[in-house]
Amino acid sequence: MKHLLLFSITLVAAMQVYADDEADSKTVLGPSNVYLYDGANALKAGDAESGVALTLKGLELAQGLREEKIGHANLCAGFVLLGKAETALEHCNWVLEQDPYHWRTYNNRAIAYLRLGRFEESEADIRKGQELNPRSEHLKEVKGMYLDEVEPVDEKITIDDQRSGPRSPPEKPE
Amino acid sequence: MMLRSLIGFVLVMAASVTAAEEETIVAHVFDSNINRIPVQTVAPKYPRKARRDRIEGKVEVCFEVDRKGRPRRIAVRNSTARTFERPSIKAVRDSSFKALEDDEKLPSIKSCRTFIFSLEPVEEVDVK
Repeated sequence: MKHLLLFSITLVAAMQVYADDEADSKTVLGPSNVYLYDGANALKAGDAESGVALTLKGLELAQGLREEKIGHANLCAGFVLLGKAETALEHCNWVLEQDPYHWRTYNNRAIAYLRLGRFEESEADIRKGQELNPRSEHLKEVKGMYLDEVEPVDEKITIDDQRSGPRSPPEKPE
Repeated sequence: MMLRSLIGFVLVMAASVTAAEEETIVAHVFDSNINRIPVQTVAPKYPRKARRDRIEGKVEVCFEVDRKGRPRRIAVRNSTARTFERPSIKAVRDSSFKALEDDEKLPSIKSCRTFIFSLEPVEEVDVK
């Protein structure tokens, strides 16, 4: 279950920053905010506690809106992993106020709502996320989690054996 | 002939059906005119992504059964969703039938097995 949740969570990787993209330079400067970078890696590895702690430090040192957004988005994911859905919501909401097209945060907020039993809001976020990124496997996973909560199903497999051969003609209507 | 088919039916009922997962409900519908007697019927595993995406479907797999009761020349004849084809083929490959006696003739007719993958709402139980 934890494995599935980890897969469903999406992270904004605070990875290498490439210098002068427009000039097609390949010079790698390295992570601009080491704490955000390490925090993202810890969260990806499933170490939510370290991930959140490092990301909080990274957020203190964040330079500019982009890094702040990365920090809050990853905290949203991290607190969901820690089972602190209410706190996760605060960070998710911050990101979506800045960027209403951030499908990853809709994904993560949908999980937070799910954890809080707020199913309608969860479904709305899944829908918004899928509008922005219809092919996302993460969102499909979250939708599956949502459906398991609101419309649980049992798998049934029926095995029907028959001999192969000419099929009987369809019955004539009377 | 009547007695033979009745014996066949009783044996089929005693044959084991192996579900891939404990939580999967497996129903085996028998057709008394099947040409070989199943010994071990393996049920396919419901593909996780199909369950997640609430996909249901049907796959008809046809095959021959050799003298030892092993399925051979397994092929999908009809299918409503590709996601179910691989587990259906595997289920047939892992199944077995009663071996023929030395004096029994190997029937030339193919056997077909249809797998219906469905999802049923979980019934709510009222606890008073």
